[in-house]
Amino acid sequence: MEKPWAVLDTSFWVVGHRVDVLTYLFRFFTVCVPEAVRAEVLAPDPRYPQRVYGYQELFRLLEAQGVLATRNPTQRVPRFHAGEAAALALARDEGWWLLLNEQRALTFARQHSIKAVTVPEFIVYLYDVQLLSARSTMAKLDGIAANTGQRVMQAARDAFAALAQRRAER
Amino acid sequence: MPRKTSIPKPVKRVTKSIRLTTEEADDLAQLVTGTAYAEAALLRQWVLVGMQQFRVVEAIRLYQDGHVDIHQAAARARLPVAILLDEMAARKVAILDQPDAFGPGLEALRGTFGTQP
Repeated sequence: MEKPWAVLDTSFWVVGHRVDVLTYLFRFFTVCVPEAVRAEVLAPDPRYPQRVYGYQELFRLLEAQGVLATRNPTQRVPRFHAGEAAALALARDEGWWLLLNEQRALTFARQHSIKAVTVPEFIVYLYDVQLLSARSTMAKLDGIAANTGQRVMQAARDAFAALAQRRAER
Repeated sequence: MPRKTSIPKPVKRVTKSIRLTTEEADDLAQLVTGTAYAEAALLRQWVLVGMQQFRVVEAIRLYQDGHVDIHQAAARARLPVAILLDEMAARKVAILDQPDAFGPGLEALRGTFGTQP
């Protein structure tokens, strides 16, 4: 099966990197990035101009290997700023998946029937298809708990628990 | 022919004064004693660092209260979006908080790729 295309948003890249799930994306998707998202990910920290964050280094590495394609939409979604606007428009216009992890853009995506995936959903799916162990899945869910609301975390933990119970891993 | 060298114009500075208690002033003097720093230069540095920290805290507060979106918050914090997202993660600020943030994506993944490894 040819891999479906997925458009990456900055929020998924930054949070996904914190819990080390980004490299799994390429098993499922041909991942592309609008220029505006690329600029957001690689923008230096004005407080520490010499610093290179891990998510930036990984981005450059994968880009150099040719696994991150650059694609731009013909128009942007109004009301959103550069990166989100480009990612939403590209996913909507091309019918591609959207990888994002920020509420406002996610709500828009879901209202417009864009196939959007958040980091907690991707973590649980990786456990579902047995690419992650139960221990690793729990650690990754713990890793995103700090910036994921309680109701979302509860739903993610419940889905994980149900799967683990079915496999007698909990 | 000698090269012309342009001499940068000195940046105009404005004096702001603050009042410290005797104890605080003594503390400050002690901190500076024996270092290579001038008291005024250090105070200036601390004010600039404090201003930036305050910008970030305020931008995050406005985001949490729903007054600004992530990009507006980043602009207020004078940080790129990705850097602000990283700051938010470190400060335990939720960027996904509605029930729709978990479920539909997982079902779509299962529907497309299946549940078998």
